[in-house]
Amino acid sequence: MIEMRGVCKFFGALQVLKDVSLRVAAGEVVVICGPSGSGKSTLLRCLNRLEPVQAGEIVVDGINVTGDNVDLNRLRAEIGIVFQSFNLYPHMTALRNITLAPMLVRKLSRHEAEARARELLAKVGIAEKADRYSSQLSGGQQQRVAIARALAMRPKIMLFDEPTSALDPEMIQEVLDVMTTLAKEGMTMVVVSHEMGFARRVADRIVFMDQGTIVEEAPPDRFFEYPTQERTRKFLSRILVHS
Amino acid sequence: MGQYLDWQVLVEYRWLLWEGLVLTVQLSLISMVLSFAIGSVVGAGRHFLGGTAGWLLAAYTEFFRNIPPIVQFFFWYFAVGFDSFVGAVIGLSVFQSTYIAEVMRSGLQSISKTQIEAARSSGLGFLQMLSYIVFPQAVIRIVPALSIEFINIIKNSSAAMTISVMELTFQTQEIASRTFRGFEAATAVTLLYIALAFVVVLLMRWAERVLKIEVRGG
Repeated sequence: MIEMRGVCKFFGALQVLKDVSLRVAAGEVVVICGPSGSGKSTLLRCLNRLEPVQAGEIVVDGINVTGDNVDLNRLRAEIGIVFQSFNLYPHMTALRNITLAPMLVRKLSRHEAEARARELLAKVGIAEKADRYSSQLSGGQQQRVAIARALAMRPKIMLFDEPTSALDPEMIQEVLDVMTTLAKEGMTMVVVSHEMGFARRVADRIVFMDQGTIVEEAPPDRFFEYPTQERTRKFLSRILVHS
Repeated sequence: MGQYLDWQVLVEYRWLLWEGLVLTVQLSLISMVLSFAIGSVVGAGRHFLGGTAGWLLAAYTEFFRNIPPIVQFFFWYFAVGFDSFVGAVIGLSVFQSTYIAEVMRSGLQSISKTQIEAARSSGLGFLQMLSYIVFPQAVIRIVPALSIEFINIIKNSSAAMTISVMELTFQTQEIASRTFRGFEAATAVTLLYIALAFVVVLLMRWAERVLKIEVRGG
């Protein structure tokens, strides 16, 4: 479903991705972890070309993302993304946040789009918040609206960029529950996260990044119990102490 | 001196005042719409476009902002040869559009890049992103600054009398020269301009309230 080969990415002179290659199969859930500045969010953002790359090739669902004449709007309609800071549209209700892209991009009627939006709001557990503005919602509720907004496009892939990092501890679980449900339904997911409990329970594979490269990738059991790289062991020993 | 004031002349020449007022309102309203349209495009262009296009828009802004409106009226009327009303509309719209462009640009700069990312990554095209996400949020933030620009349009429209647009100030001068009642005429025109500005302030306050309800403190 996703194939990255030899991807290099620079911000000015700083190289943030160094010859990164990664494959994600359909229905697979991949969690990317690593220290700040390791390039994990950048990697995610390259997948829908929010960030252009300088070298290498990325193919998503058969579309060459890095190609010159790729139809970006069509590509992005198939890839849902959820941001750390939710990024809901503050001048629209939750419902309108969710119906906007399906109506404009998928050309759904208002009636169809609203029916789908209400269904999704119910699915993420906040059916009663349809007419609220983001300023009237808690962080966890906003993030669940953001997930519903992404799902409303019926994407083939969902990307999550540290979806719980800006949330109060009490609200993290409600967002993780939604993501767990989604994973169980067979959604292809790439999740940048520090939630190691979630990674252990839900991920098919964990990718550990440091300084712009993939240091290690393995299924959760092996990743946590028998990491092969010294850098991974050091990282795990630090983060598992307090989680 | 020692002359008494004769307010009767205002009643006598009320039709001149009325015609002038109507023309000032027409001139101002058309110029508000045009300068807002041009200013929005120029401001958005400068915000989003780099390179030659961005440079040209910056040059447009600097050029027309720094020439007094009365000189611009002369240009469109005498040099280009437009009809006086058309020349005034163009001169006023172009002049004020440069200010509105800068106001619009500051409004656009206040919108977080993450809003654009959210919109674009859901498959919205550039114009859809602009018209549904960025523009509505920018406009609500610049309503107070816009009302100043709209009032400036009304005030600057008075200079159009120099190219024989028979607007409010022109007609006031006309009354003064016909009756030698300069003080009365000046008083009338002062009050009418204040009233017009007040209408703009009230309308913009109302617009701000309506838009705020939609944005809910976003």
